[in-house]
Amino acid sequence: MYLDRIDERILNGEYGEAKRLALKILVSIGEALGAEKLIPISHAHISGVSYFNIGDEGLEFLEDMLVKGAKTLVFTTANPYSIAIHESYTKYYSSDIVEKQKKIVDILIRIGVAPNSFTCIPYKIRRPIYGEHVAWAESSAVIYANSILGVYTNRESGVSALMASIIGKTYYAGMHIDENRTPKEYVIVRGNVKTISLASILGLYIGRNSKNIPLIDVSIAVENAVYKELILRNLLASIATTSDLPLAIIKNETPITIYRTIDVNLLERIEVDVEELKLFTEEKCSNTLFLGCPHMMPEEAEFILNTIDFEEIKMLGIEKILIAIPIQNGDKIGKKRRKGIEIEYIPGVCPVVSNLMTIHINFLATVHGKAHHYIPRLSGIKSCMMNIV
Amino acid sequence: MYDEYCIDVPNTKIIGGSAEGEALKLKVLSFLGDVDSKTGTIISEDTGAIGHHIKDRILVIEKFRGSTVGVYVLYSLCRKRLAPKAIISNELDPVVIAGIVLCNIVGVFRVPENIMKLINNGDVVKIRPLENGARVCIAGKV
Repeated sequence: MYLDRIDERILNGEYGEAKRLALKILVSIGEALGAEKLIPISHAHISGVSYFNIGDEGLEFLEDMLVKGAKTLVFTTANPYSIAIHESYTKYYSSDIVEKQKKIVDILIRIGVAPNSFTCIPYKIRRPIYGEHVAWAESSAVIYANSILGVYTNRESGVSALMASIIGKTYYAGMHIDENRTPKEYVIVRGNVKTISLASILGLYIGRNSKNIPLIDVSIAVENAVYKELILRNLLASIATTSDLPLAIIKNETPITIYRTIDVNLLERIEVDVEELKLFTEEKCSNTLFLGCPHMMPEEAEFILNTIDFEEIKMLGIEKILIAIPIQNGDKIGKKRRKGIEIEYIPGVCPVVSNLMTIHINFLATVHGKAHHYIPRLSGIKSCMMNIV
Repeated sequence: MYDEYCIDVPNTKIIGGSAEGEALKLKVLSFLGDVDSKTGTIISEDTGAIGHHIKDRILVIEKFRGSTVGVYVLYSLCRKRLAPKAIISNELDPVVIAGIVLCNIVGVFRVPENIMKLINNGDVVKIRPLENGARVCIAGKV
């Protein structure tokens, strides 16, 4: 791989141990991927923030990087942390877990992560412009950046995104190169997608069945722009849950420059009927409904709350709605009551990456494919999909 | 009784040096969510290998999925000496590559599916780097 003189000196350790290690990891990954050079990035987004996910070894790794002098060189955001340090829930967790989660957040801020940026929708903190090269981890943000914003990013790991933020560059391979961003499969979706939950189920299916970048011909039959945005976000997040796809081209939504020269007749075809995918619960499964995976902005959550039929969800046994949002400046958003249902906003937090048995939840209802996939695997409880919005 | 044969696979991407171990085949894998980070046991049904331990195995993985945090799970398994010896796949996943680099284990990627199919669960697999690819030796029980 071509390295400039400064890079060579970094690898020789002249700029400190953190930079040496960061560049060494980037070069090793880049060479494995066949990269010929590094390219500058404008924004890094780090995953691996929950103590429940990265454990003691991950915490020690981050501590070690800080001691070695790690410092971000470009604007850097990070994923949400676990519920263990949220004021309403911290009492349920051991002081050891709470302290370690606080320590992870503290280390990341000291390394240079923007303090109010702990969210899985970094594009709402800083929206990169079309054509920007970034190094993002968080699979749902990566697929959104490439597919909707026309931003260039590989699906970075939590570690390589951190290293890219320290160096200010990433390896020029994969999604950074235009010729790798063309569709290889044509997915034709029959029927209309009108809800977040249906888009989620469709996304999980496409992720399971696509082997390479798909061009998806799907009709999202909603007028409202906020709703449509949420449907797209959940369709893509779900695809990225059951696959390693960093890009899924959505006809009429993805910037046309990525697929205008493609002859769909030459692509392998997959046909799917949304009517056949409906796998929703019609019965009571939980008294808590979880929204915000990926996070929702408060105004998006407000729209969803205005769209949900509260009488219908009460019939389904819902007594509480838990909504994960980015950290808010100014106004404190906490608990509210609405039509007899408790609504709690949890900023900067992700319940999916938290042990939820500890807070005596053993079943969570949701509308998000990503949450539905990970809740049983990561938080140790059961989940069900409700087709309510 | 074992019957060993070797195949030279050109144009594969190999990270690290040589490795030898018993194969464990997986239909799909994300290190976050599909592997118990405390024990190294596979916990997801749809991987096709639920209940198996990955320690010292050569993982033969058809498809990677999901989380970008998988790198930390693989790193933490390495620190606990529960890591696999190598990972073989047709796909090239930057998340898994980062974990392999951090852990100093072996990765062989872009291995054609027909070669992956020759490997059965429990076969002893040896990997050796070549100038432009890798030599994969498979010893199955006869």
